[in-house]
Amino acid sequence: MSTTRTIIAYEWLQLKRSRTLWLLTLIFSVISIYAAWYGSSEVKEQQRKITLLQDAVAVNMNILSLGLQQHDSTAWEYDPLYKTVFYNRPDGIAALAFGQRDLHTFAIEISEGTYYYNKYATGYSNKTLSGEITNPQQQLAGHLDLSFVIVFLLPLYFILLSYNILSAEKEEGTLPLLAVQAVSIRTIFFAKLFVRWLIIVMPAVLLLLTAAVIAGAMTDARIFLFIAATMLYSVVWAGVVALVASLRKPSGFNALSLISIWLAFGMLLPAAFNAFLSAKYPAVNKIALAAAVQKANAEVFAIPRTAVADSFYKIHPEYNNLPGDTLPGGWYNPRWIRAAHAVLDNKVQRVETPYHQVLEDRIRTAGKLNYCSPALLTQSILTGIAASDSKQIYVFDTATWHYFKTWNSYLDDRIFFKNNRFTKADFDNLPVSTFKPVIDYRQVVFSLLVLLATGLVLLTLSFTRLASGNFLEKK
Amino acid sequence: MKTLQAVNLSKQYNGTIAVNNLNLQLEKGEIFCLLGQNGAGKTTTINLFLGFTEASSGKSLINGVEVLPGKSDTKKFIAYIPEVVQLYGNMNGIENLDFFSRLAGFKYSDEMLGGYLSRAGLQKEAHYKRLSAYSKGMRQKVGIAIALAKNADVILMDEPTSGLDPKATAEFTEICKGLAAEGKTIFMATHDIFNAVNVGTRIGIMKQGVLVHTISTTDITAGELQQLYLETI
Repeated sequence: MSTTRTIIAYEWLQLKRSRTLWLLTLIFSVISIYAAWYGSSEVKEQQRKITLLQDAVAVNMNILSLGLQQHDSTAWEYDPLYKTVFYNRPDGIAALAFGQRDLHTFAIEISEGTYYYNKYATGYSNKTLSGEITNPQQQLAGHLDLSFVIVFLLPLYFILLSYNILSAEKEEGTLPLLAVQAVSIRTIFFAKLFVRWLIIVMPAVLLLLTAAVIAGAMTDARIFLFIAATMLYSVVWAGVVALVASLRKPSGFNALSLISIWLAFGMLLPAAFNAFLSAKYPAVNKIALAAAVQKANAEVFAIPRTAVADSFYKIHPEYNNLPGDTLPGGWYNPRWIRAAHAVLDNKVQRVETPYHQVLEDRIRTAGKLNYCSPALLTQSILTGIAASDSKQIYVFDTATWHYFKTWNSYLDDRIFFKNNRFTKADFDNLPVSTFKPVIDYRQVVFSLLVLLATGLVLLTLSFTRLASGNFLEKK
Repeated sequence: MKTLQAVNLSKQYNGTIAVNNLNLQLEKGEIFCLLGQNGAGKTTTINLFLGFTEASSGKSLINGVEVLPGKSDTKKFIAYIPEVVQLYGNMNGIENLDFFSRLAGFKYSDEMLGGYLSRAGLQKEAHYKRLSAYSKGMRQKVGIAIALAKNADVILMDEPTSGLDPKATAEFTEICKGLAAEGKTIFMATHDIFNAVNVGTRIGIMKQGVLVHTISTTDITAGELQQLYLETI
């Protein structure tokens, strides 16, 4: 044990004096701090936009409340004002792994209307804040948030620091003197590897904590899951470095092998998986979907209003044969428009089902493929913890639809189809829904265990390989 | 007591015989100098004793314990001074010596470490300079100090004086004699016939992996040894 401590102490002494280490650490730290700031600023910008929307909704609600204090309303009077906003509000942790949050809408106006027309035919353009979707170039480049730093740059930093732990001893001629000491080369290697692992993990953990403070997420216990994922991911890379070192090849070979593995895990495999997923689960053409929605919309509004009524009553038989259930003429008739929207949504939901099915299959298969690459798995853990992954975006989408239906059912039941007047009490009971991401902690813990197992297998394998044979044997 | 033994020791590399059926026994306090041309098998012999390479047949023993590659059973008995001592450039002489001493299980004070470096001939002002500023000869002296500090029973040396100036070589010779007087066994591969006669108790001449002659230095002069060497190779 004291021998190991000696190796660790002297390794640290040497590395401390290495300009390369300081330079690498400086570069890594600067990039990480930028990433922390970037993630935090993106989250704050989304939060600001959501607050703006909420303020706008509050103004409407105040008008309604004031009006309803004077007298009850009818749909005719207040229809355009009955609306709220459903939002996927990013919290502080999202700043650490921004994921796909800016690729999808994060705040949707819920109001009387057609959900699917808004979603596809207008791309939410009239129902959400403009400019919330970032430009395609940025989408292509991805985000330089902390999850990117951890998943892609941390291993690179580790590789640059550790690729030649053993090979350099041989190439620089210090190995023979080490080899005659009563300590195994394997012990020396793993002690040195441990120091380098600490050198990359400690700043990474510090930076994560700093980023959590910047993002106001210091009290969120999920930060510990982030730290655990970072540490276990680096254990996997320690295993990879050890395994390559156990081949006992020159430094150049090690560097090339490790960079190739880094490229394979971080870029080639994800690209291959994307190609596979696109081929197996071709994405539904959203333009075609929008065209179908527009066509359906035109059809619904083209048919006689009595036919709309028939269709609507099939969906909502509870409103049939109620007093005043007829659909009177006139274009601006909220009941008829409401019925047409409901019919349209019902019709389009069936059209959208295969699209959802493809998405679900794709997400499920992608989740399985993630286990093939520690980089992808870690990325999925981090975005999963931060609720920024594609799965969460899909969950938000589904939750939006449910809230839309709840909201409209409430209004249908109060003012559109029962000839009631809308009272202050009705107003006060308007359905409220706040989206809460469903984080699959079982999945996160399982993925963390997979990372741990992968790291341990690699380390054990290299530990065994480094036990046998001679490090100075001529081939 | 036999501290270093080779029993029918042979080593082949890809069909080429580097050491051929070597039989040798060294006693405590002996200095054995092995002469031979480049490629004669001197370094391979040392590597076999060090366990750096696996014997094709036969065995080598240190203090009666068989040398097995990858095993550290015999390492506590041996110290090694290679032809070119390479150490850690960003650590100073004291730190390098302390590091290797601790690996060998010895914890010395800075004063004691300085004492070993001085005994090896390294000037005091160089003790705290980083190794990257050392000459080859200075590094060689740190290598000697490492061997001294390990207090090993057997010291294996591969061309240890190749980087040293005549004064340092003379100092080194005295160190070797002192170590032998303390009961250490020294096995030295060298090209320096005159130094071999001066420092050694026995001389071996190796040719194509075969130990052709073994002579006591009391029985031969430097000139005679040179003549024998030239005739042998």
